[in-house]
Amino acid sequence: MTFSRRKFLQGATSSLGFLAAAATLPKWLGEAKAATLTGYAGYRATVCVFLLGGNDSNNVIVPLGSTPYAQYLAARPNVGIPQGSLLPINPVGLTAGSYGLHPALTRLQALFEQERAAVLCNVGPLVLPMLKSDYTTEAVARPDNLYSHSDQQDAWASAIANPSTAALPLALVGKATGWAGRVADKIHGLNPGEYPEVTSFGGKALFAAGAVRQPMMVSSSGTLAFRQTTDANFNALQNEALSQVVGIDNDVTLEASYGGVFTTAQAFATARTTARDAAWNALPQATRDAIDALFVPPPTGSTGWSLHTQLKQVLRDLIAGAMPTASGGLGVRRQVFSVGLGGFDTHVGQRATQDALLAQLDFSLAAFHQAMDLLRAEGIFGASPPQATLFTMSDFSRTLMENSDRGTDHAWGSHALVLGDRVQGRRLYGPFPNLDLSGNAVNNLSTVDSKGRWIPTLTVDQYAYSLAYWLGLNTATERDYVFPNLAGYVASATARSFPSSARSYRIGFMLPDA
Amino acid sequence: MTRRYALALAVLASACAPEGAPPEQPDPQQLGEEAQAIEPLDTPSEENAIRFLEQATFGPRLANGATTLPLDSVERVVSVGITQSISDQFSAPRSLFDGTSASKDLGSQFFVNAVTGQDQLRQRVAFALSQVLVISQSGIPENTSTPESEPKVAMAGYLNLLSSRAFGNFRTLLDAVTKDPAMGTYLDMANNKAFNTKGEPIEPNENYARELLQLFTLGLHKLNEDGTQQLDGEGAPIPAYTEAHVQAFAHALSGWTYGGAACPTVGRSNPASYAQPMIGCDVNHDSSSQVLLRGVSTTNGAGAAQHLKEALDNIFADPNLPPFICKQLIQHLVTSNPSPAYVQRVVNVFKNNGSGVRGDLRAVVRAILEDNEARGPQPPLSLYATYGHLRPPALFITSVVRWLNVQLDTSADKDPGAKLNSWSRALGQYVPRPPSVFSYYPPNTPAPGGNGLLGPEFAILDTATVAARANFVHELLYSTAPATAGVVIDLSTVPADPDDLVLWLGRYLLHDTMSSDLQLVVYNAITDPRAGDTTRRKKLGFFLTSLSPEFQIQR
Repeated sequence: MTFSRRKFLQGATSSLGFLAAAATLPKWLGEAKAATLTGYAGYRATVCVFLLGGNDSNNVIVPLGSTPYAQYLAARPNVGIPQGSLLPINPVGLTAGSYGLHPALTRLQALFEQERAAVLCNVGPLVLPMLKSDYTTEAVARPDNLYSHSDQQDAWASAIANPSTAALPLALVGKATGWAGRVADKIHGLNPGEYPEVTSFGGKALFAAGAVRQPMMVSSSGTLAFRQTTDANFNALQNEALSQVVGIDNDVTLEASYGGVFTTAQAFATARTTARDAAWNALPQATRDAIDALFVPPPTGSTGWSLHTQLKQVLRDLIAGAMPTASGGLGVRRQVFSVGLGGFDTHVGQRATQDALLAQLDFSLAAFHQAMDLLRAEGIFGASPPQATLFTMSDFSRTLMENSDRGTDHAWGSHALVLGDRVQGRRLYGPFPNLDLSGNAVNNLSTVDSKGRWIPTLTVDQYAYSLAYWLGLNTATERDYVFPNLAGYVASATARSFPSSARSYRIGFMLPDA
Repeated sequence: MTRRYALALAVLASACAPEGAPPEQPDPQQLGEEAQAIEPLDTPSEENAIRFLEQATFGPRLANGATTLPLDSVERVVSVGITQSISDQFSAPRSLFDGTSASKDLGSQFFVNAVTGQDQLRQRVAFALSQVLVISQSGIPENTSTPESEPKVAMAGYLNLLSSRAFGNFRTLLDAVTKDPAMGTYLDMANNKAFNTKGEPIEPNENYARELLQLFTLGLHKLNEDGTQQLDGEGAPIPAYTEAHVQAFAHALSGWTYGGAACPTVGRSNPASYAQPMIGCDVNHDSSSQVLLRGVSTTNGAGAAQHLKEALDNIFADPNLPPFICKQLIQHLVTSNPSPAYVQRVVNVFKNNGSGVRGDLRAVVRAILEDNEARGPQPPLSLYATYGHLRPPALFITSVVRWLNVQLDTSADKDPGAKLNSWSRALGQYVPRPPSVFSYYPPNTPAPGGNGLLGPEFAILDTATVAARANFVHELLYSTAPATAGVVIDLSTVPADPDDLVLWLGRYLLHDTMSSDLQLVVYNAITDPRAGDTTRRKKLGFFLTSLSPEFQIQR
């Protein structure tokens, strides 16, 4: 028997030291190495919008030239969008009106033309640069479990396309981490204090998990709070005792893991809630009203929308993060947010489903972007107002060739959207795939097979590193920790004389800092 | 029972021993021996019985004065022993799911069954199997032109299938799962044709074939019999199958459609029907020979039924299957990081139940629960730091309410099961609606900060869901909403005296392993003047203990 009242009372004296040292933070917090602040002196955030299920980006941007458009429509006579419905755009360096956006993306069309939005063409998970012949002969190892939802979501979220064979830095061995979490491991020192760099309202949880730094996960409604009774004295007693209790791990590993997550929640839930309210109220009433108005969805067609709500909550967290502590905010410098929108797995009856989802995406991204414009004008943030970049990720794109159910099936490389005041917009980055599927596409080097599944020509790693660099991930050592495959990719692309877009670590869609 | 209770009383009495008595420091060596060798299965200590019930039920409960001791009560297990308790559980009346429109949501039914059903072990094993052989109710489309709810009908049928076969043979289970219409819909086994309407060959859908191999039977990588990974000469894992295997199985399993009066014509399908198993239709089946695992070929020219049998026989005979399945069952019932020797012992039983039968789940479940690594008053000392698993949301919730002698009021206007499932959903486990075929959490998730230790349930533990754990207990104890919904807890059997309360919490919730640190914090809290009246002290003590790491990690 391990318990007796005497031993219990003995504990009362022997454990006083324990009480004094009651953990307030998990053991695995606070280990991140301090980074040096370079680049922008103000606040910066990236916001990941994960389109869950595999967004058919072949219908997001469509070439309008007569030959490629005819190829497009030949492959998808039912799922394809009529040429006259597409919203023409004028990318820098290309023939005016050579591409069109999906008809639901009216706001993004305008933002593209205003040089705020850009399209990254044919991005996907890759370990090494790959030609069609490499794929066919398997001379170059393929990413793990292509065309599988969960594996490809993980590949995008982690920027490690080959988790079964990747040579990871020692600090990452045996851990499941995402690229935002690993960025947080390295840029932790840019922020004062221990507040988590990554806050996730949805999307992929893996994206937010670091090896050292753990994210703040909150519900999509924005709430993270512990229930309380109406008796403040009792609450104080219970909360204090609870924080002691979750710090007792008895040297049992899994108990410490649980206690660590609990302590993170407890330690930061209150700070976050308080800062959100204070920072919001520090804004002028007119600004708050204007922001609220931006997120009111259109009266028709918006039933069941969730993305605008998530992005509004992101904005509330962003304001709390960027607001100086003197005004009640958290006063942090760099944050990453994650939101998710599901329903993109359009095997059947794609047009109605995807059209509605893209309308929701268009409204929500534009509302957030316009709200950032309003914040930038607020004097309370001083000479270096907050900046944010929105970017999309998705499991994969879908087959250009439609299936027999007026839908499309799982594919690979996809076109991503980026949006923000620091985006070098009105541009397409990376080569656009060849849409010609005639003759079973045997002569089309863009696709792995006759269905139109694009071999990526930009990698998730390049895309992610471009965003991470903008946040402040600067040194090669940091880069190789966060993106362990990237150096090998660039070296191989260089050695094999791939196009220049494959030979650079970053894609130039972010404006350089002055 | 009587003997054990007397023993416990003796401990309470000895707790008043004089100050001068030698300090009661347990000798780890002795404890280890006691845990692993001394305690026979037929005379378990109360601690051992409680641990058994944590592994084999939806939470230990007390008899609370019942004249006939319930099968799943601590007193009963102490009285009849582990071996007999397992036998009793095997023959307990089976809880069923009702898919008709008038019934409550299946998640609600699940929780009512879990909290009140007698067939605790069967339900527990079926729940584990449902997280290996995964279907989600969210993945079955609704047909709005019919009065019934297809997702509900289909899922109820599947959950009943799992519970009816939980103690059967794995090969039989695999056959039933493969032909189940809900699975057919969920992973596209249904209407997976090898020909189009013109009779031209087309590529069958690979979805079911892939998940059957990757998630249901073999896993991605070759395993040793003790569950550890085989590695090649360069230390890399070895794939358990190839893409060519996936395609071969997709062809071998082609041609199945929903049950109906007859098979459709070539390239066509029967309408969805969830009342009966799927049927194999040779007209849509690729009858050519396929090369399966280990170079085994299917019979050239055979029909859909014959090829399905050959395909499943081929998988069932694969050496990866026993460790892949057994380790996951151990992880769900007992511990996330079982020793290789434990896995090997259970695998041995899977391979041969003693009568030459492979895949006897009844024998496998018994082997898991009677193993020395699962039994004894506490985990083996040699595995002290690595033992246990985070209680998954559903089990955390049912365990908490069962300790509080919960009564579920299922009268007309109440739906206590839905209340329990709403909590579970907030904690990240919305039954029976896992977000994907990878279930609620995958078995290979590392524990955060765990230096490579697995912690599958940690995949759904984050700041939001951990706060939801606290908020669940808080609402249960301090709000009237649960009782209004029909979840009625009973604090009357929980002692009021602070000393007795700490003793009670340690004795039952933590099967006498409550750390002195936890005892101290709880004691100090409940004796603080701010704690308030007797009822609130009980609640506070229970709140703190149920959220402590040593309770959250079932050991």
